[in-house]
Amino acid sequence: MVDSAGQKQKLKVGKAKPKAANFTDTSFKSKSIVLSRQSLSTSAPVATSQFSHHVSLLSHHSSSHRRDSLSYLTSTICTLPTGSLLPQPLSTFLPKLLPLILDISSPVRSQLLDLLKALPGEEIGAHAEKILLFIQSAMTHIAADIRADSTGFLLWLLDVAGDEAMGSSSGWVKTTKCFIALMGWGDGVNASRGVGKINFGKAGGDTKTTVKHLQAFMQFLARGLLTPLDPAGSPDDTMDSELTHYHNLISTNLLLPHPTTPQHLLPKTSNCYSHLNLFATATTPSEAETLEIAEDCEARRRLFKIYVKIVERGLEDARREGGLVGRAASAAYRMLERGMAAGEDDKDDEG
Amino acid sequence: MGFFGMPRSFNKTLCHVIGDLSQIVNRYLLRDPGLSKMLAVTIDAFEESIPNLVSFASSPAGQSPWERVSNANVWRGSKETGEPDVAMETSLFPLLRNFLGHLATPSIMGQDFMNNYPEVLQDVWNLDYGLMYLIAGLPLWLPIPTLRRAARARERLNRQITELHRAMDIAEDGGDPGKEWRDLRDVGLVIKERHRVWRSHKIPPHLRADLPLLWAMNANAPSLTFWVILRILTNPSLVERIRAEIAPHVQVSQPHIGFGMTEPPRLKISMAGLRTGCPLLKSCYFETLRVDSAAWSVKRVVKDFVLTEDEKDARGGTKRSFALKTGEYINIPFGLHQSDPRYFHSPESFIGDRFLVQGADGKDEVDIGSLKPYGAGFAICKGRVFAEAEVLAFVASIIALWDFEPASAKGWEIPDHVKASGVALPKTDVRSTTTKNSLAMGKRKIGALEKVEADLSYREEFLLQYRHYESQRDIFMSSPSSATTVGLVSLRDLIDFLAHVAECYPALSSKFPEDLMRLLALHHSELEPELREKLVGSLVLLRKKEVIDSVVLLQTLFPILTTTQSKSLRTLLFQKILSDLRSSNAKTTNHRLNRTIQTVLFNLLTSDRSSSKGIWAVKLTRELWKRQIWTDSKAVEIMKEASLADNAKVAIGGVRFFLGGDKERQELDDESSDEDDGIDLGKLKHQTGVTKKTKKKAKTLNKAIAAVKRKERKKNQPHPLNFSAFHLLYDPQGLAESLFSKHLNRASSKLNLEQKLLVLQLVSRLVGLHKLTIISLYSYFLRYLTPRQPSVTSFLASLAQASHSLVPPDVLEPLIQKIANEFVSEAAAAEVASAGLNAIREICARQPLAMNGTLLQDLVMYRKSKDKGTVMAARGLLGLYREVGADMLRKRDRGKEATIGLKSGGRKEPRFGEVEGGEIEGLELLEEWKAEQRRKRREEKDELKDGLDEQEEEDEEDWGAWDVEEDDSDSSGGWINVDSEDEIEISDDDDKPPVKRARTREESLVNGVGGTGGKRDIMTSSLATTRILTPADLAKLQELKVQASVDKLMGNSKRQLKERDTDSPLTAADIESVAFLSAGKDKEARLAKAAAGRDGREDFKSKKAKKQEAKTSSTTNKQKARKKNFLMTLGKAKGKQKRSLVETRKALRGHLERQKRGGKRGNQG
Repeated sequence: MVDSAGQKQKLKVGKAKPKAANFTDTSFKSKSIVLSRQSLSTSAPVATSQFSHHVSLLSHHSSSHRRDSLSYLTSTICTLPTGSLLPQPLSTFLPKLLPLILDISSPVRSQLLDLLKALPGEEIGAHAEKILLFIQSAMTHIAADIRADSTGFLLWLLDVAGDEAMGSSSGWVKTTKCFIALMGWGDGVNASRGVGKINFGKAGGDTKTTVKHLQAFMQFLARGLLTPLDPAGSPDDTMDSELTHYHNLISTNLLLPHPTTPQHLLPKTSNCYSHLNLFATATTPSEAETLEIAEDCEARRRLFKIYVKIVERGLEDARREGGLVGRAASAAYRMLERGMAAGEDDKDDEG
Repeated sequence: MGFFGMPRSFNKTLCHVIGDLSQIVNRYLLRDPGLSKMLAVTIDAFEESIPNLVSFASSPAGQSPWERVSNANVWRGSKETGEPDVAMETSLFPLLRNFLGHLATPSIMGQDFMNNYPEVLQDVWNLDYGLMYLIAGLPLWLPIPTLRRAARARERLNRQITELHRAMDIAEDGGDPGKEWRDLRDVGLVIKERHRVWRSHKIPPHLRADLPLLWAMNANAPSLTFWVILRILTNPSLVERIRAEIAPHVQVSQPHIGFGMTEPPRLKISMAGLRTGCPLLKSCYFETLRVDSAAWSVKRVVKDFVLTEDEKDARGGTKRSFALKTGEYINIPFGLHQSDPRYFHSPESFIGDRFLVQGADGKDEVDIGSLKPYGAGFAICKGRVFAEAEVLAFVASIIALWDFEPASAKGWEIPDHVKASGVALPKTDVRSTTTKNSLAMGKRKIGALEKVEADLSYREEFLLQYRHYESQRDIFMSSPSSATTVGLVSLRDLIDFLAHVAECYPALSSKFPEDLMRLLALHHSELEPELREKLVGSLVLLRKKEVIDSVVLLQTLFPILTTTQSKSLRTLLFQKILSDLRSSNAKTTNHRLNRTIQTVLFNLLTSDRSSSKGIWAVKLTRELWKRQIWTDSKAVEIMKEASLADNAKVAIGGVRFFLGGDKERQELDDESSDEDDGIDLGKLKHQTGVTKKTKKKAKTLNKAIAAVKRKERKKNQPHPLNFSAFHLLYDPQGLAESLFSKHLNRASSKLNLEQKLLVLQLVSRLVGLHKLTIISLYSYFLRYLTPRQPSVTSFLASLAQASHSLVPPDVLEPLIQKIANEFVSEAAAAEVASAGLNAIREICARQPLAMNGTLLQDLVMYRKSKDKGTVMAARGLLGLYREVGADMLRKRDRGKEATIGLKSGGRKEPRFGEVEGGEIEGLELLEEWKAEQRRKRREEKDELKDGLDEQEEEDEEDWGAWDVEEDDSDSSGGWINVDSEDEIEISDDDDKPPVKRARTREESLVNGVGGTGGKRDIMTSSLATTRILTPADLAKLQELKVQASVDKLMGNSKRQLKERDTDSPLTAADIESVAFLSAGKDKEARLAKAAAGRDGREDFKSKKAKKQEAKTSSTTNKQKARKKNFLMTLGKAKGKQKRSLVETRKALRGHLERQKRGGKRGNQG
């Protein structure tokens, strides 16, 4: 310590160190101190914060923790009063959920499926493309049990948001390819090349899972190849109720200017021009696959023609195995034939 | 039964039970339904456990108990030497004994028993060692350690078996035996049955004598197994035969899982086959029993009888008889019989097929003859059948599955026997190395090292992985920045895997490289570093596997190199690009690739001259130039563009390349050729002759020979034409002009002084080397020529470098004038003056006409200066003008040669713009030598005969020496005819008209400034134009040139002007030269300079000096006296003896007085 004269001040025992020349006193006096934000509740944390805590636990390294968090989330969502919003918007916590489709622990995956089923179905559609990516990844995962569970998720997605999933950029062709790889039907590129007798059980796993896969495949075909309006397709479809409404209007009221009016109205779905890749972002996988986006059944049928031979041969082999597998395979085969035939019927109609 | 530790009273109770017990033993160990059941259990255990005999784990934690007790060491072999992958060295006996013990005991006593008492086996071994003493009934207090140990082990074992029975009782009654006995179901059948019997006879647990059974199972069979295996192993041919024999009955398989990996081997043993179909193995078993077991029976005589000796046994012809009374015990040792040469020929040796006989159907069968290995009579070994089967199965599976090698170099050694109760025990340790039997299961493949075959059966797996990669990639692409770590890891691994196997499935993975490139190109800035590196690495790997070609790879990587912000990525990319270019140019120059890349670099530089991206082009080109991969003018053109860049860094990079690139290249070249230097082949050869001959030394010699040969071959090869960057320049004038106008002669130039100096050096190098004309350059110099200018010597050097004979003298004159005025004056510091003089000399050496007489005479006067540096510089100038312009000097400064030259008119004046005629260097020397030779010969011939036809002869001789070697004279014979041709006048006779005397001044000027004597000029030109120089002539020329240069160095000929190589640059150091000799500095500086030379010399100081440094004073008188030479003191001592009394008194008094005074001179304060 140096004073103004340049002399060093001595330190004395029992006395505080002298303050520096440029010392600023920061102490102050006040009658009361008020904290603007503080939690004085003695009870448990509020449901919202607990919800977000469990969402953060989804990436915990212990599988039992992940499963417990999932089950908590499931029960929370199930017990929500109808019509109320989720504690967190779906778009923020769905990205946390989706990687769990590839989780190594099977209880986690089954719990995840329960949670997904509990989610409000109408909101899923907007995220269908992203979910599909993870499902595709699971379908081709190296671990057999993850592969086995993958079609369960697919079935759920087809059920909840089938049209969005089918219409998304990589929905139709890529999922078909993944199915071919999952079932071990040879390579999806080179159809003419005979791979010889394929050991059916090899990539497909045991009988039970094979049956599951085949059933999922059948559903997939039904969703993709058959138009909802088609009487053969799934009867309940609310999506095109408006269209039918217009049809009714046209038939009843001739005041409407033109029969194609509905096509010129504002689109019903969000991001319906995604295939145009207007924002040229990285989300586009590659040019070749951009062309493969199939908006409607007709386009899907056309794209599917490359794979028909492989799929038919694969189903044929499965059918020959007999038993549960054979039955499921023949059901899928019938669906395939019907789906492809439906296209030809349409063409005939047009012709 | 006493020796198994049961109370004496027990014998009575035993009599009741024994019938039932032996029935059980008979049922399970001798007869078939029970026996096969027991065997099946044992075989199952073998099949499961024998692959685990050796774990190859190096730490005890990973080893099994039997490995731990046998002192295991693990060796890892290497592939090159053909050793197995892995081997374990163990002691064979403990390994096998404990292994079998661990296998057999749980099957009899149950797993719980083994777990609760892990020391059971050791106790059994100890009991076995001491059983002889116990049987003999020795009292336990005797000081025999073996006995005591055995007694203690016996006690413990009995207690443990009692516990087992107690637990079984409780379990039988439906109670809970406690947590230690959780599962009593796996207790062996025999013990269970025996337990039933004991219980039915109501014998308390502590009296249930099951210890003999435990001992019997563990004492003999394991040691016997050891002996059988050891006996078989010592005979390699036996091993082969037995393996062949057991092959159908013991099958080893190692299933493949896929991707080149294998499961642990599986074993399948067929017991029936082993027992009936393997006579050789069985014979070996019995032979081992004969050699290594020493059974004996103890029998009680129940009836009196007399035993009489056989005739053969009788000694000395009298047969002895022995009377045996009832109630006596006799001991029958079977070992004596087994080693009797009368029954078994050469009994001490092991003969594997001793017991093999030809059966009735021609097959080998086993006949054990008179061998009684299990004892005889009522008390014959109860477990013999079971033991035989067990040992056979064990030996067969061990031999089939494992290879054993002796650990010591001496091979297998059969240890001595230690007598035990039944089978002998080995006295010494047998170390063995265990490896897997490679014949049986094939080498284990390591997937990563061995290329996986592109098998169609893996196609689906690959496809699955490829699809998985695609989906992972899409997930990643959907949100590159927020990817999870798990996803990243899996994506990285997938990319790595696919890059390794992509070449096997070209059709399936055709889009893979493109994918990677796009991923890298689009996202390199936000990718996680590790993934980014993996992408680069995978692309390079794909290039190495030739999935993509170099051009594609480099065109992907290069844009990233120039744009990325990450330093680590830049380093990685640069290294990869460089190594790829090097490897593609390794065998032959890949012109296509080089051209493409050069164009890319050129465009990079020219497209945006102000960006700093060009630095990568500079770096790459310089590196490739240095390694002589790019040596063409295109690379130089790139650098030319770089040096003209607006960006200072890029421009200086280019300039530096021109100034130092060639030197760097040469240095690297020298380095690489130097590395084989210093191989003394003769020494190596001598050493291999003298020292021990090993493969390694032979290899070293071969390598050295190869290196020397390579070097010699290289030496003989023509030197590769490495044009320097300056010579490959397309338009040096253009470059020099634009460099000058862009970087130097412009006010807006951003370069600092150091950088400007570099550019100036380059410009002046170009000007000097190519004799360019940039007039404005010289006036540019004018403003920098003051002593206060920083690094003025560099400017002076550049100026000197930029002047050449085609620069107009009137451009240079003001510069010289200015240097003289500013630098060279009495008032200037000495080193300044010397630098100025040196600079003037260097300029004038290149353009002598730039000097005028008065200035020169003035400057020459400085040779009388006090300063040495100045003196030397002035003398240099004087020496120069004595040669090139002596008439400008004052008469007395001209020197002898120049004065004579001027007087005789032989000296010519240099003129501006004149060009020296081309000549062959050193031709005049050859000419001189030829004339000399001719003269000598003529003199000789004059003596012998008339010189009529000397001319022809001389010529013939001359042409005979066409080549340096005389060997190919026949091929050169055809050339002899040439001399008859008229076109070329081959001879040059001396009787030409003396034109040279009458030549005009103009003629002489043609021969240039630096030309030598005028007389020689005409002759050389005639020699070169009138004669064909033969190779022999050229060789001689070379020789003469060398001789001349040597002479010059030795001072044999007069000093000549130092010839400067225009290719080497002139530096500031040349201008400063010896300025450091100037006395201008102060004393301190000089002292410091002198001290600098003595740095680090402390270690070499004398000892005395070192000591002295530590002390302040010198040595004392006492020290000196102590060290004084004895002989020198001798004279004085002698003199003292001869002194008279008076003299002595005088001396003593003097001493006293001196003491009083305090020394010779007294103590005066």
